[in-house]
Amino acid sequence: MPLKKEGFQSVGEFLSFSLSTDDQASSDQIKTALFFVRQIVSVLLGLAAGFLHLQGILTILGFLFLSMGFSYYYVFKYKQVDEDKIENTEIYTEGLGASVGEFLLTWTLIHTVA
Amino acid sequence: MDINIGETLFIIVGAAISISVGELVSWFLVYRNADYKDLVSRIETAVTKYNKEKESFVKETNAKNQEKRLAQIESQIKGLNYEMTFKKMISNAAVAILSIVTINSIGNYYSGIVVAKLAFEPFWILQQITHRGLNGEDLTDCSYIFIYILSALIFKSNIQKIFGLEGPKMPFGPGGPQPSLFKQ
Repeated sequence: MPLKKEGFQSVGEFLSFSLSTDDQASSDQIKTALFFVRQIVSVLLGLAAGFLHLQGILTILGFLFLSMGFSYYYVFKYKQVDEDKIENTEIYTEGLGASVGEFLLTWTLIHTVA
Repeated sequence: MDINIGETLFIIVGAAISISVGELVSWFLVYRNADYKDLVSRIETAVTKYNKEKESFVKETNAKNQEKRLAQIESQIKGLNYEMTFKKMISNAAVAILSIVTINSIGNYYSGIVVAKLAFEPFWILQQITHRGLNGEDLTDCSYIFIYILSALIFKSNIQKIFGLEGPKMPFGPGGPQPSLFKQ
């Protein structure tokens, strides 16, 4: 399993790592966890934006602000990673493309249906 | 205006299949080969060496020797990266052809059809994509190509991440931190 390259033996181990507050993890493991967790958050934000009938470019800017804020919180506050271990630009850009895509797609689909 | 959400979902599924097949082709042509894996290993070793050397860089003492070592490693990484780009050229061309065929096939059916409603009015560059092939002045009407591109971006990122097909990350250039030592 390719995730083994980053120290995960199974999907279950990866999931428990994502939810734990283990600060001994490598930066690659943290970035991988952030990649998937950020996408889940993006889908939830897209659903919320769609059901709340939010419109306009400000919604996208709000999403970007929340997404980056969440990334910072998840890595440095929740997982309590040392700020010297991983750079801010790395955590802000990890999975950014996919998460923006998922937000826009979910938001658009809900807006179309609702 | 009635929008058939089933058609929108069909575009998403089409993108998923197209990207999956493309990555499978790339794996078959490039990623499964021993020489590619060896190249990745060499790049990762060089990048680790570069990062360690950068961490131990001391500006005041032996700066010229360390700068020279770092420049050598950087040059080695760039050479290996060039070799990797060359290796992936054939698979990239195959994936591009597959994408073009898929987009044209979907486009023949969905041309002129509004598949979704955007919740924002896109700026003029994005309009060329979101409103492509559509009649009418309502810029929140969305054409198939925008949904396809978003879906392709999502599936490609995830497939590459899950199956370890991203390739090694460079310590400099797009996607990596810039080296601060050699800035003027």
